[in-house]
Amino acid sequence: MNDLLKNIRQSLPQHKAPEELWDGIASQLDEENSIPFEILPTHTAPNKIFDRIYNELEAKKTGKLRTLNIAYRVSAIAASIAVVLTLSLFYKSGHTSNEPMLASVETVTTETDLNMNAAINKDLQDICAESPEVCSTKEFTSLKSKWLKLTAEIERLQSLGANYNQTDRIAMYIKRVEKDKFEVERQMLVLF
Amino acid sequence: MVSTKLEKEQRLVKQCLKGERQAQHELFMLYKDAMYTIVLRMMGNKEEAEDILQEGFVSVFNNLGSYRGEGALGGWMKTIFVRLALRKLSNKKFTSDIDEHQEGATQQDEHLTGELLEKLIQGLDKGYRTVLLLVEVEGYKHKEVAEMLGISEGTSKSQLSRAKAILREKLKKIGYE
Repeated sequence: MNDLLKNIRQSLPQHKAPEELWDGIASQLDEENSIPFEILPTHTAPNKIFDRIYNELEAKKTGKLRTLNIAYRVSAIAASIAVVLTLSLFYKSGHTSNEPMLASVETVTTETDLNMNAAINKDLQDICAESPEVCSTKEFTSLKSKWLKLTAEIERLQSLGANYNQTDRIAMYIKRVEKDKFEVERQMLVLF
Repeated sequence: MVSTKLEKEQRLVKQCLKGERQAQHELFMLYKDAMYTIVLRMMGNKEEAEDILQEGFVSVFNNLGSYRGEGALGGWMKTIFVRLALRKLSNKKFTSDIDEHQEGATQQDEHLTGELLEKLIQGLDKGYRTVLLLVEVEGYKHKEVAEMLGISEGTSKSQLSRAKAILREKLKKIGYE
């Protein structure tokens, strides 16, 4: 009889307790030892912080407007470069009779570019004064270094043009370097 | 009542998106204390909490466009503040101030006060404290906490369990069973 019972007991299936049971036990234990988090105090934030928030929002708005301003200038210069390059190529392909027209376009765009270039430089300096953390990044300093090299190259080419009176070809080289320079300026703007 | 609050929030969001200062101020007043409380509990330092409050609200106003109105605005904002606080905490060197807090925590009242409980929580290791506050006080799920902290759900659960055990031990030491 005992052996029979033993055999029956052994043949009965084994069951695994669901693992989720532990969560129930744990939460019950937690309740029993509960910590009354609901009594934690709330804190009052000083109202003056809103002025700081507002000032920061305003400063960013001004910065954005200036960035848009520079972006507009850069795109205007890029457009003028495209015009001069097209005319230069037109001129190089044999239409020598257009020389006076080309010269006048170059004169106009060069003056505009110089003014805009100075304005962009000033704007970038102002933005850097407001956001020194951006201007001190490796990416920005690397772009700035490229920008300075290209500016020096433009000055060098301009002096060559003045010395040798080869305005047509040198002007085209200058425009190409300027195009690279504006691309660098565009990349600098994206960082803000 | 609920729809009135919701409508008010929706109106404020629209106005804030237009950059209206008055609406921004109203939204700030509506949520400033709730957000400040969360951040102050996490950081344990008023100055840092104020800085995060400022940074957080600027981020809220600048990113309101990405709030799709699917969940509660308060919950969306809370996530911004919690993440900011977590970022600051991860940059902060952990200095154990448990003893200092425990020394200052002596039983004076018959009942446990919120201030004392908060002080004891502040004395926890920042890892334990963060999980405890996010799960027990702010109501985040372990899955969400795990994602925010870059840990596993299991770690979040064990951290919480350990945090509560330490807290209970502290309470016991100062006479609260």
